[in-house]
Parts: sequence; C-alpha cells; structure tokens
Amino acid sequence: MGGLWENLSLGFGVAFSVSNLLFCFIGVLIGTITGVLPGIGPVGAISLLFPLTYGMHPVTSIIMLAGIYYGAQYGGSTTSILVNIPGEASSVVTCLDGYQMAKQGRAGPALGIAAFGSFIAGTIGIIFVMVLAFPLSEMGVKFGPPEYFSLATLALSIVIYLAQGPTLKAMIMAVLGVALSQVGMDIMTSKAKFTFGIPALLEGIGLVPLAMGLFGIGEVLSNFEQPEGIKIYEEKIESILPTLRDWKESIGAILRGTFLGFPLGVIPGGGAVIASFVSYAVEKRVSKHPEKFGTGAIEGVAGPESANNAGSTGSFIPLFTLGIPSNAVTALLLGGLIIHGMSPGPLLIKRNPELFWGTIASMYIGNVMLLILNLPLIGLWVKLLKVPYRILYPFILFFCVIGAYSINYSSFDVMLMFIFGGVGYLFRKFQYEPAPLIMAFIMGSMLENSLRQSLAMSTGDLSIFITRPISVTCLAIALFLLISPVFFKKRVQASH
Amino acid sequence: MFSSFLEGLKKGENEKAREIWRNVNWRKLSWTFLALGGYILLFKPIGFVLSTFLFFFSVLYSLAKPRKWLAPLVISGCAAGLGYIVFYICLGVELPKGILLF
Repeated sequence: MGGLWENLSLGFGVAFSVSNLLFCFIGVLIGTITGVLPGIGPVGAISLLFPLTYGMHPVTSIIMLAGIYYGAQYGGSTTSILVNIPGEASSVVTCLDGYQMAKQGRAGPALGIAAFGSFIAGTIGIIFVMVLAFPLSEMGVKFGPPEYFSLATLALSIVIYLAQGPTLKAMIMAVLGVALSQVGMDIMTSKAKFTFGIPALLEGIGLVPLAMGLFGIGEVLSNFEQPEGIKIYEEKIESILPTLRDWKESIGAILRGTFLGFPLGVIPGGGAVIASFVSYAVEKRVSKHPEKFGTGAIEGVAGPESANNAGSTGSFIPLFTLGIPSNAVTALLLGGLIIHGMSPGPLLIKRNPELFWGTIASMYIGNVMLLILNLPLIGLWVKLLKVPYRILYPFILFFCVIGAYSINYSSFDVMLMFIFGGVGYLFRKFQYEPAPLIMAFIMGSMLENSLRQSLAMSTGDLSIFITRPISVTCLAIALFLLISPVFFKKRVQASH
Repeated sequence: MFSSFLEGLKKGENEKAREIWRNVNWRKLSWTFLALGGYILLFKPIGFVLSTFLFFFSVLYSLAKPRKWLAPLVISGCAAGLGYIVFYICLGVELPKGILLF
C-alpha cells in the first residue's frame, strides 16, 4: 500500500496546481448549473465545452470534464427538491420524497442531506476507485486484441440490454453508431470509406458535431414541449443543516446507497440513473415504515442521491482501467483522451500516472468545492431557475454553433451538427435513446482495430474469438443478453 | 417504482403513435429550427457579430409572449457583443468577419 500514498501525493501535486484547481472549480460550477437547469444535461454540457479543452493540457481537460459530470449530480437534486422537476435523469426519484419534504417546509434538510450524502458517497467512491483501479488494470494488461474485442462487444451489449425501452431500438442505435464511426479514411490502407465523395468527410465525422447535435440541439428542440412557467418553492429556506434525527434516519441509507451505487456505476450502461432507482427501491424495502415513502421520508432523498454520486464515480473504473466507457459521459471523456493523443487502455495508469491520480485527487477537491458551492449558495441556484427557458435556449444553440465551428473553423462541421440536431430530435420523439449511439460511435474504431489485429494474429481465422477462454465467455454473455429479450421480458423493467 | 416511471413514458404502442406529435409546439419548433439553419448559413458570409445578433433577435422577438422588441434587442446586442469579446478576444477563436470590419 506504500505505492498508494506515493501515487496519491503525486495526484494531489497535480491537482493542486493553480490551473487545475481553477478548471476543477469551473467544471464543478458548470456541472452544478447544468444540474440545476432542466434544459441541458451533463452529456450536452460536456459536448458544449469539449472544443474549449482542445488547447488545454490533457489532465486539466479531463479534470474539468469530470467535474461537470459529478457536479451535475449535485445540482440535479436541487431542482428535484424545490420544483419537483428533475434537473437530471439520475434525480428523478429524488422528486418523490424531496418535493414532499419541501412542501412540508423541510426543503433545507432535504437539500442538506442530499449534498452531504453526495459528498460522503463521492468520497467513499473515490477510495474504491483508488483501491480497485490498479489491480483491474493489471488484469487488463494480459488482454490481447481478441479479448479486447470481445470485452468491448460485451460492454456494448450490456449498454444495449440496460437501455430504456425495447432492446431492438437500442441495438439499432448502437449499430448506427458503429456505422457512423467507420466514415472517413481507413487508417491502414488510406482508402476513403463511406465518404460519398465529400472531401470534408475524409477526416471522419467529428465527435463534437455529433454529440452536440444529438445531445445539445436535439434536447433543446424536444424541450419545447415542456410547459413553461414552473412553480418554484418560494418560502425562505431556514436551515440547510440536517438535525441529528435526520442524520440518524439517513446515515444507513447513505451508506447503502454508496455500496449499491458504486458497483452499478462500474457496469456498462449502469451509472448514476439506475443506481438511484435501485437505491430507492431498496430503501423502501428495508424501511420500518415503507408507507412514509412518497410523503417526505428523508431516506428517500438520502439513499438515491448518494447512490447516483457513487455510481458516477464508479463509472470511471472501466474508463481508466480498460479504456471502455460505461455511459455516454465517460464515452465523451474517452473521446477527449483520444483527441489528446492518449491511448486509453490497461496501460493508461502506468504510462500516464499523473492523469489517473491527478483526476482522482481532483475529485476529492471537487467534492469539497461542491459542498461549499451547493450549501451556502442554494439561493443563487434557485434564482437561476427563474431565468425563462425561452431566453436560455438561444444561448445553448449559440454555444453549440460556436463550439462546432471553433474546432476546425469549418462550416461543414456546423452543418453536420445541425443535421444531427434534427435527427436527434426525431430520435427523442420516437424514443430512441441516443446514448448507445454515441458510445458505439466512440468505441467503433477501437472495435475495428482490435478486430483487425486479432484477425492478423490468426491470419484471418475467426475461430480465434471462440478458442480463447476470456474472449468466448464475453461473447457468449453478449449473445445471451442480446437475444434474451426475445424469450424473456426485460427483467430490469419488470421488477420493482 | 421503476416500472411505473417507464409506463408513464411508454404507454401503449398505438396510443403512443398518435400522442407523439400532440404536444408539439410547431410554431416554436419550426421557427427555431429555421432560425438556427439560417444562422449557420449566414455565419461565414455576413460574419459572426451580425449573424449572431440576427439569430438571437429573430428567436427572442418571435417567441416573446407579448410582442416586445426592446428586451430582445438588448439581449441580442449583449449576446453578440459579449460573444465577440469572450470568444474572439479572450479565447482567440478565429470568428468570421464577414461584411463588417470586425
């Protein structure tokens, strides 16, 4: 364990540099704002700020983008409790008891316990990441291209399986994502693939135009259907500090939420959203007074809010140890690492210790910053909610246009984003989740490379995937997950 | 718990097909979409400042509940000006000049 302290001090050394502190703060601040504003989620915010990070040091950019992600989990709870509108999908369940508490004049303790729960869960989650990441990446080093291909296939299959709605729809989105990732010049033969004679497509479809279109513009357009003029809980918030009794009632829920949420975050396709739902269900089941849930039980706020933070921390594990994203946000971070010339994978922690440990250390610092940002400044966030959406959304669209333009100074990228925006809107209307698409898009080139390397190893013999034990296990599970909905109803949705 | 949420989202397949377009605010949607498309097309030819101003004004003016022009005018002007200062001067993004001198 001696190495752990050495690494941690390296990490804090990186994270405490002035620029990293500043961008960590900017990240958690933007994260809180996107969490509070219902119009835009963390994926949209990260794709909006993506172009800004191109000029930064890779560590700094990942620190900032990660800050947006876990910061949004904090901010999302504020709107759930005060307005009964979840800022993020992961705060949907917080509405149930949080808003009831606010109606009973207990908005303060609800906000307080949500922030403290998030802090505790975030901190414990970071410790898990530290302890687990190294052994997992050691294991990953032993993986060859066939194992890697099968593991990535499995990860994508789990994402498809856990996606909301029919598995077929998620599968269509994932296939579309892989297809889009293939556009451009082939890296081995330099031949143009699927460019349809458009020279601008030789470099491939950019991650930023795609993500901004699907998550930024698509989300803005579909938000027009939400009724305007939300009612805000106006009464003065007396004390945000939970009482001793509140703590007694919720400490168990916070710890259970943490230990449940973290592994759910590690699983691809899991992450913060599922963690919060599962935690609520568990709290209701273990409670001595389940009838109180839905009428303002503090455990119903503490559990899910802790779980979603632990989950979002957990989703960094597959990203850093194997280079496999577990949700759309970590997929974007993976894209960021690739753009900065890093090669994500099991060797990342060894080759770039300052990146891994610096990010981890920044998450500790970020969690403290979030606690300070969220508790005393809660009134400010409530005011932010009062900015009408019709004034807010032109700015979001404006940032999308500037962001997409600034990468290559190309109008083509902006047009591409506009088209994906329209497509993204239709996806939302017909309930096709864009998350599997963006993940498959980012994993597409990785899948292709490992497939090619494997086939080069076996001189074109496909049996290499089924003669190696790890590879065949992964593929078998993947196949089972993909065809199981034909035979069984999706269990994730049928239970609870 | 989870299932009741999903049911709210899902509803029956047939019912859903009819309901999908029911709550759409066509005017707002089409106006925004066209304004954004126009903005992107004009971005390079007429320049950042002018196209940004026009985009904000067209969206804000057309969708303001009582038809007011002063507030949209001020917000649009601020957005174009601040955008120019933040992105061009502070962040060094090469914004298209277009027909204006800056």
